[in-house]
Amino acid sequence: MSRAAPRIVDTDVVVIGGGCAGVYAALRVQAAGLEVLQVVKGFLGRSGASIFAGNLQLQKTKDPAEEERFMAIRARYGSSYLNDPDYIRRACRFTEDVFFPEMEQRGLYLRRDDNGELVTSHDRSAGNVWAPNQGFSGTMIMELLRKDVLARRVPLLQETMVTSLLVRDGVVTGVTAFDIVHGELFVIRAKAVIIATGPGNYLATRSTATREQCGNGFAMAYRAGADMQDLEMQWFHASDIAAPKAWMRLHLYPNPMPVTDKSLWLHGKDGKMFFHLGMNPKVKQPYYLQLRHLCMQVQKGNADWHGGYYGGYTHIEPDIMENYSHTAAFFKHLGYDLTKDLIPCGITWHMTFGGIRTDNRTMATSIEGLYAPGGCGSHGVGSITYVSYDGTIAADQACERARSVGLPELPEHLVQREHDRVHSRLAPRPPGGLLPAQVKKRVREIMTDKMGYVKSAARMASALDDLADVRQRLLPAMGVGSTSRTWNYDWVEALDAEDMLDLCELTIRMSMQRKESRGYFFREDYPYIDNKRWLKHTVARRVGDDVAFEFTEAAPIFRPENEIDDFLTAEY
Amino acid sequence: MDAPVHVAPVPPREPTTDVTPRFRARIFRFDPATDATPRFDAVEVPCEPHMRVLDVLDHAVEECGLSIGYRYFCGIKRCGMCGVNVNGKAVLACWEAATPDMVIEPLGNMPVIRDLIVDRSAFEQATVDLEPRLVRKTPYTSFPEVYTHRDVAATFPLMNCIECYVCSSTCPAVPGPHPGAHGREGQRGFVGPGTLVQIAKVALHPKDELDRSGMLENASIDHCMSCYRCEQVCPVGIPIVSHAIMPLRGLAAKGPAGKARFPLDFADNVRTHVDIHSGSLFVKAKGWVRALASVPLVLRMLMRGKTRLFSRPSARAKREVNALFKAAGS
Repeated sequence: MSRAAPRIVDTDVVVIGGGCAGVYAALRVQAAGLEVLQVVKGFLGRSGASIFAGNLQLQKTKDPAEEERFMAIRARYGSSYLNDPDYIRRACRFTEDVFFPEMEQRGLYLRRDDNGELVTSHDRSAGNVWAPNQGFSGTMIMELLRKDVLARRVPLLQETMVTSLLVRDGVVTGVTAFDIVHGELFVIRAKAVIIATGPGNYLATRSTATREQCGNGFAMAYRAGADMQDLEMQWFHASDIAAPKAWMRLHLYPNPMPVTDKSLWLHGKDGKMFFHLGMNPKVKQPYYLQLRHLCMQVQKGNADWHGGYYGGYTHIEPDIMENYSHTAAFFKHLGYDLTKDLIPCGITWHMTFGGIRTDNRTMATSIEGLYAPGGCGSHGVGSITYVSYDGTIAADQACERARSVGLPELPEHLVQREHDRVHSRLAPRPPGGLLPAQVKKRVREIMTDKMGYVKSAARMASALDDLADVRQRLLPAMGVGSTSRTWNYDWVEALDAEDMLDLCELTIRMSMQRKESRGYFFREDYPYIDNKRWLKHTVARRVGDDVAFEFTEAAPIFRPENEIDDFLTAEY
Repeated sequence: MDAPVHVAPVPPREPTTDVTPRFRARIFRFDPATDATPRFDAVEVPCEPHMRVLDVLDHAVEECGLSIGYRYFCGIKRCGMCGVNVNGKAVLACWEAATPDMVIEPLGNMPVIRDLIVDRSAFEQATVDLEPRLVRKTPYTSFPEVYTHRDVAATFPLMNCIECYVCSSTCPAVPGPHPGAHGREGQRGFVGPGTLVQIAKVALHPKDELDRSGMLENASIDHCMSCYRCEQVCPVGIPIVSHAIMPLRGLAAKGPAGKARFPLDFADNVRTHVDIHSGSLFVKAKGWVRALASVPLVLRMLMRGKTRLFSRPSARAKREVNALFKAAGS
């Protein structure tokens, strides 16, 4: 094992992550005249969750009545009353006043018709727009931002994985970073750290998170002592394609389609439609209702979680699919005729609404100097436009801090410990052993079997046992196929496997704390929404090798009518 | 190093009692840090519904325990990072259907980092150097800007490009694994179709106001020989030649240094003379000094009837040629 001291790079602000929040933060720090270094595990704007943003929402914040109506909808249907409406209001205003104008200046093409009107659904109050087609908006946004970052020569390290946050006496002093191409671990010392690693966590066999999103950001923050919040608020997708495996992230959008008020139908094994958004005209959010209706079909034996049900566009005019749906070409490529054929779907682990506990006015975390904008924060965003707001205010805070403090002293023992940990993961696979990718696969299977949409105390306890078994039995048998330092993804995945184990255990333990069901979170042993006791956030903090929990009241601007509602049949 | 073109030896087929159809793949392995030459690993994988090449690679790692280096992030044609050659054709692994017998190799025209991973940075740098951003001179007014879908007709077909550079990897006009390197007089080697699509996206945008002709006349666009191989391999079906390269060639031809104006001179020549009049085309393209130095050649050509001093097109022929130019839209 190499004991040489790692190289140290100094900067004012380090930004971890190459999605929309990270880019907005990095551009803002650069524009403020400070030194920034952006570190991306994949490729900026081409990996991570931002590229999957499908629908964009126009805002109407200039009309107070309209704004209030929208806030109430977001509170009830968007977050089951857990989100802070004050945050949503600020993010919406930023979206309208800054994000859309800036992106349009960069060349973002929100689809228009031949008269120049923005193309939306017939239900214009939903306000969905697309760039340029439904299902491609995030990819186009990130491509424009990527080119902006490269052309402005923002200092950027791609295919570089941050492995730990270096915290000394409760203050972040920098990060350790691993250059995947050359296999070198080094230290970035900074006055402020912006962590923008996104909401995605590829913790189950089918996940919408991209390949590299293995919960590294959450895991490193937790290990560094940051407060974590609401990780149990895990969103699933009900309508992602079942096959091929590689396409598990291909989403059948359940929102109203462009130039119509029609939306995707879900069909059971019997071929009959059992859900579409139009069945609940008041509700603007199809996702959690899809899941609950699917669950009821599974209970009736008319669907399986992993492929025994279907999405259908057979009732939608073919030219709408042809002209406005980016995904239509995918179905055609597989030989489906959308006017006749139904598409087999499966349930997919999506993003978490929780994350590193943040103050949504500053993006500050419980660690001084560490800011967590975007999906990896705990303020439950789920919109590419909102995270641009997060990145901007996080950058302002980080700049203010960087101007007022000097370069910190590094915690040498942590640097050495991390250096040893990372290099210990370059151990070759023992005879009969497993590649790190195989251990990751096992972790994902456990989560799929026992931490799916329908949870119970017994299954979660069993999942913890299985994960402990992976730690005790499989981790020692895990090793890399080659000890080369050149683009050795086994090495990266060995680090991922540890992060995933930490994060899966934490997610399960937080899920066990919440003794009710809400939003996307369903416990069959507590199958009701308990507004009396559980309009609360779950907060977790590492204490030695254990974890401590506490609960804080959710922001009470809007309140549900009932104290208790039946989870599966409630409309929020 | 360049991706080798040789085909790997076929391992003997094992007798099997399993009736599941199986796909066989030979996968390129090379680590410049440890290997003197590349080798191929062979795998057999059970066929799955709608199986993609990417599924085969995943299976090779997760089930067969091979530690193959391959790059991808999304699996659904967004990240543009899973380009490979399959049986000699450049494809995206997530998009291409797996087939019973495959040889999977890295993309061409780029240095191999390891196994199937290539270094894309030369193409990406060429894109950045040619200003891939919209440049406005007129101040932006307010959101949403006033324009119609018809106004973006030229760029709309390009918007789905995901910068996978699969097209550039297969382009015969790209000069090897170091495309876009600067040569004499600021002229750079052909930057490849992928980069030109990025530039066309902004150059043809109705709100772009940067005069790109000076940059483009140095980009050796005329090295493109319109072989359409880029369009054949494009995983998103972009009409690259007609909607990106041709319009940019038109812009380059108007460049201030006149380095790429040959197509205009050629068209003028045909328009004026109805046929190609090589003498005047030579003078126009190379100047009088070069033309005078070539007098002996011109004399030989005249003597052998290869060129004429004057052209005498009929009025009817001129009308017909002009009609053709009009029909072709120029």
